[in-house]
Order: sequence, then C-alpha cells, then structure tokens
Amino acid sequence: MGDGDADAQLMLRYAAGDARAFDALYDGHRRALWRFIRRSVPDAAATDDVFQECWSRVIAHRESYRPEARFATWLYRIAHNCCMDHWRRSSRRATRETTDDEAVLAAAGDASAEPLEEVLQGEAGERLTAALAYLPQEQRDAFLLYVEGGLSVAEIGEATGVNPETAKSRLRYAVTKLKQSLGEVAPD
Amino acid sequence: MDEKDDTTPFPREPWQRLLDDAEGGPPETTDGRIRAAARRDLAPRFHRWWLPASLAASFVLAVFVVQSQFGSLRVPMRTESHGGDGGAITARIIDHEEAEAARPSGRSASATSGRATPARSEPETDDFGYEDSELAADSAGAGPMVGGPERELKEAMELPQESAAAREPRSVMDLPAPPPAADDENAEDPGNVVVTGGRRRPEEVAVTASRSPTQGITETPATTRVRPPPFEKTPETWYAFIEKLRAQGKVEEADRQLARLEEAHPGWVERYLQDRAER
Repeated sequence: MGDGDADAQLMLRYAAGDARAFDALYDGHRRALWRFIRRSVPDAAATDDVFQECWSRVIAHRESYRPEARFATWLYRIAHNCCMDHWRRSSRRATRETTDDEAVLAAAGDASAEPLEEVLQGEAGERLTAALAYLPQEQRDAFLLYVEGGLSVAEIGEATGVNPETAKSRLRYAVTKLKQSLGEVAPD
Repeated sequence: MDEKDDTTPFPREPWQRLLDDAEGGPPETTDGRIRAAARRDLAPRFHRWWLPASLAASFVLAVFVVQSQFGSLRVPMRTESHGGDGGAITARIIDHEEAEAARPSGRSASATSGRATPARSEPETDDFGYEDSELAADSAGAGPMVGGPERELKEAMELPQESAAAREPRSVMDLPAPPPAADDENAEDPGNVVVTGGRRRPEEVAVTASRSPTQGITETPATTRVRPPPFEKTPETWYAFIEKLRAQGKVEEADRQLARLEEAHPGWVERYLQDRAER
C-alpha cells in the first residue's frame, strides 16, 4: 500500500482510541481533500459542509475500517460520495454533467467563451482553477483524484465506481482540455 | 499527454504546484470542529447508561409476566395430573406394605423386589392405565369426547388405582364390594352417570384430586359420585381384568381382586373355569 500503509496504520490506531493518530491523519489530507471538494462543489459554504460531512463519515466508520485498500482511496471514495450526495440534493449536477465524453469535450469547448478568456489573463493557478470549473464533473473528479489524492487509475475507478478504462479515458480528456485552456502555462 | 503507464499517465507534481498556488485549506473553525468530533467519538459513552438498565428492566418484566401467565394456566393441568398421581402413589405404597405383610416367610425380599421391579420399571402412566399417547391427547384436549369400548377399557385399567387410593380408605379396602346387581342399578340410573366422555370435567377432577383417603363416598357431592369399576359389572369382565393384572405382573392385586370376586360371586370362578375347559 506504499505511503498509504502509514495512513492505514494511523486510521487503525485512531479506531483503537488514539486521538493523536487522527490528528496526524487529518493534517496529512486536509488541504488536498479540501481542494478536491472545493473544486467539485463550487459553493464555499457547501464546500465546508461537504468537507465536514466527509470527515464525519470517516469518524463514524472508524471501527468498520479495514485496510484492504489504501486509506487515500477509501477517503476519496467517501469524499466522492459526499459530493454526489450534495449534487443530488442541490439538483445542480444535471446541468453540469454529461456522460458522453466526446459531447462533454465539445460542450466544454463551447462553454469556454468569454468568462474563461477573462480568467486566463490571471495567474497560472487561478487559470487552472477556472479551467477545472469548466470541466465535466466526472473528468474533474478523475483529474483531482489523480493529482490531489494521489490515486492511481485503478483506484480512481474504484473510488468513482467505474472500470479503470473509463477512469483512464476521463483522465485523458481532462488533461487535454486543461492544456488547451492553459495554453503556454500548462505543464508538460 | 505524458502517458507512461496505467498507474501514472502523466506527472502529478507540476499540476500539484499550480493547485497549491491557487487554493488554501479549510478554515480553522472547520478544523476545530472536526478534531473535536473525532475526540468526542472516542469518549466513553456514559450518557447511555440507561440503555442496559432499560433492557434489564424489560427482561425482568417479561419474565415476571410469563411466569404469572404460566402459573395461572398450569393450575388445572397440575390438578388433573398431580392429583391422580398422588392418589395412585398412595395406593401403590399401601399395596407394597400389604405385600410386605402378606409375604410368605419362605419368600425372600429380593425375590419380591425382583418381581416387582419390572412393574416399577414400566412407565408410570402405565400403572394408572394411561398410555403416553392418551395422556398426551388428554392434556392437549384432543381426546375422545364420547364413551365407547376404549373408554371402558381405560376405566377398567384406571379405576382400581383410584378406588384404592381415593374412593376407599385403607381400613375398608378389603371390604367386599357391593353386590353387582346394585351396581348395575346405580350405573343404569341416569342421575348417577356422571362422566361418559373421554376426558373428565375439571370440577370432577378437582374433587377427585383433593379427596383425602379417609373421606367416605358420602362426603362427595351427588354429581361426583364414583361408580363401581366397570369390570365389576359382570364376573366375566372382572375375571378378564384379573387376568390382565396377572399378565402385567401385579400378582398381589390380582389375588386380592380374585378374592373379592369369589366373595361377590361364590362358585362362579370354578364354574367359569370348567366351562372354559370344556369349550
């Protein structure tokens, strides 16, 4: 499980009653998980709610946690489910999500009319954030799980409930789209 | 796209640097809430002390209710079975004492006990004339409700024990039975016929069970008068009953009944045996 081994051990220690293990676990994932949720749920207040809900589920399921996969995979699967629940509740997901990758890419190209052009004038980080907001939900999740969560393609598929080939396809479309949007500031 | 393999299609680090520049982390208040929730969940849950207490109280209450219900339901069952047992056991003890007293001097106690052992080893219900299935059927309320040959046979096997235990006090056990003619009259009198079904009525059972051996027949209500045993109706049935007792190994009881038969019907046994030998 690589570095996930350490996280899994921390989680097991927390399940056994060690509160300091949870602090270490939380410190190691709070920023990345926050960014993942922040970009999946644009509303700042909702981001905070989803973030707390995610960690509440981690706390509630601490006794049933089994280190069968990396802790990060388990954590981001919970986060992904929390985001899905939020989208279902707010009924906003239908307007931002399509399932066909080609259609998504075409729609994303149409959507990048003037707002994105304005944002792209700013810093590279801000431009990337704006470009992510224009990605379809599945592609954005795949990209963020890969970059922020450090998950592999197979783990992304496991966390989002799809097979690895679909996860890999979503990741490829996301990177292609982001590179087009960022232009010369895009990483190689 | 830098697609190296399935696990790392492209390098993460450049994208992570861009994202780190763009976004921060959760507010400190959120951090505090989550850490507090994590510690609160680890704390012992003393506030739930009432849960096991309420479960224990519910269990005790359920046991109390079940016991009270079973206690009220088992009263008639105890009256019917234990009352009959008590009478029969008393009668059997009397028989045993009489057997001890009447045992010939040449006969050893071991021989007596050895002969009595098979009878004792039989199911106790057999001593009273009940079979297990019949007893179970009576207890379950599934027994026959009308009389018949089975009922006559059952009474023939049952009543000697009751008559020894309950109907007759020990001092009058060996008194001669009333004349059969009078018994027939009483039996044919509709007012004296109490029970013809396969199951005795609870009030009659209660009277039979509570009747002490020293009480006479006259103390019982008219509706619970005990008829003479059916096998005493005719000498033939009486003798058949005696043979049945011998077949069961109850020699003392068979001898006693034979003596009563000879007193009630002088010379009948000899004539009967002669007739049977001629046939």
